[in-house]
Amino acid sequence: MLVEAHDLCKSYRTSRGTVNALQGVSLQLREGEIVALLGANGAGKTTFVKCLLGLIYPDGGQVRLCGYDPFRQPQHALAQVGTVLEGSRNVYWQLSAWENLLFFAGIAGVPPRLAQQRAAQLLEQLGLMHRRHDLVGSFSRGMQQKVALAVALIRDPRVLILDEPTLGLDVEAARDLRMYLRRAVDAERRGVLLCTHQMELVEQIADRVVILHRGHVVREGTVAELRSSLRQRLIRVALACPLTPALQQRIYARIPVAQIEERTVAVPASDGAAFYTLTRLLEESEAPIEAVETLTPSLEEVFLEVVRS
Amino acid sequence: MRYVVWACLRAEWVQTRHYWLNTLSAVGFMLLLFLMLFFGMRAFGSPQADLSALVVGYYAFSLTNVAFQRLAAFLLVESQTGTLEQLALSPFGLWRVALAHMLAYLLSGAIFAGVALIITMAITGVWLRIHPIGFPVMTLLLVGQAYAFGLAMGGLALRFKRVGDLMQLVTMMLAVFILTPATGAWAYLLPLGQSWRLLQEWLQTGALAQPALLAAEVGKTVVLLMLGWLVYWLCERQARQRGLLGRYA
Repeated sequence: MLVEAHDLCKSYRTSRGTVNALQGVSLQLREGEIVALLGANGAGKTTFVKCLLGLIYPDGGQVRLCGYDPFRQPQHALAQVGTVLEGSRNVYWQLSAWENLLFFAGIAGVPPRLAQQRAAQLLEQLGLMHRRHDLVGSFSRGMQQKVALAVALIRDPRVLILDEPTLGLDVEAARDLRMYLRRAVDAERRGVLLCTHQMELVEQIADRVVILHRGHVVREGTVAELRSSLRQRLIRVALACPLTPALQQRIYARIPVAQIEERTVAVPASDGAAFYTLTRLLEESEAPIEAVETLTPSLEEVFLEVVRS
Repeated sequence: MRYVVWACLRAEWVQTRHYWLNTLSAVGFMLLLFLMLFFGMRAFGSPQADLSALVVGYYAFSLTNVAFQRLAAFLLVESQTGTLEQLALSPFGLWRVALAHMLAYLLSGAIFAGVALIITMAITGVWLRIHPIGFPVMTLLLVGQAYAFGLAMGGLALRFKRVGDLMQLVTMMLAVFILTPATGAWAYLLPLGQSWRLLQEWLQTGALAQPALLAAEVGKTVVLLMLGWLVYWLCERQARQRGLLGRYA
């Protein structure tokens, strides 16, 4: 197990009272796995990550990074972890990409020669070799994030903790990052803890998802498990013209679970009888059918349903 | 830890080279300052006045000032630029990275001041006596005691963020400690003052009348460093408990 967090609790005293940022949050990350920590703003994701890293002392609970306690054994624990933090600058803009990598390698205890080898390798993999001597301040946001990722990787960590790594990135840069992370996990057997509220990113690369809401873990599972556990697959029939009020009433009377909108009617895919009833009602009303499709709830819909409930 | 020091030295050197105008200005400032001291002493002081004590003493005082202020300034700037937490993720701990940075800065400052001093001596034709053992030893004591205050101030900067006025207050206090005459036993307990007097004595006579005082100063330096470290540790702990490490205000 690369990351183990048990019952982490953290509260802050503010002028408006006590804010419970984390309330008994537990999470595990294994080798070769990407776990996405999903949550809205203020859910506690960043507080959780900082508690894992020892940047914030939790009020209760236990943390292990590759078996080491980051508070009692920081030298061992933090040597195993590379981090890209959200919001803050992770690199020095007044240094070049090359110099940033050598500096952060040095403060991680990487010998200079090894640091140079790794820096060259990482810059090559991330497509920054031709700009290695340019100041990071002159880079685009996407390139700056790549340098931040390289800085996180320069110590060859077993665990990568990334807090909103694709924030502010354009489509191409975000895609490059996704592909790189997947490769880092599959080929190099690292573990990645990804904190984000970008559903598309999670759907594309996460092996497991943990949903955090107001300091609690409210759901956990694979993307497919979350989709199927909370929302049923639906069959949606789209009509060429709006449903008449009379037809809507007839449908509701025979199929109470139907979801009706102006030109569409959806019924649970698992309820075959409901679908047949719907088609008969539409045929009797001579309502022109334009399309029939199966709907799988998106992770965004799942997430919204979880946090709203 | 040597890799940390090397990394900070390298980063300091890169920035010195990159911001060459600022670097040249710093050397130029030192040069003008030493020239001012030299010519001022000649113009307004006694012809027999020993320039060594004045100039080298000022050199030591400058390093002391850097040792005190640099740590707190470093932590504040890093939290403002947002890189402090990345430094805190070093397996060696934030305070070691800050110490390595301060050593790198101190070394580069000492080199610039040394270059300016050599140029000044060449221009004026006045070559100062700088004892190869006594000067570094005494300066280390001064720097060590000043660094103890710097550690405490650095911790306070982590916890409270806005400590500019407090730094000025403590700078004045340290200057008072240095200038306080040794009129009673209590004066020997004050930080910096006795080390300063020992440095002056060494520069002027090339020896110490009471070597036991040197041993006492070493002991005082160790105690001050421990106290400074305690304040830093308590403040960093509080900053982490309150989640203040990454904040800059």
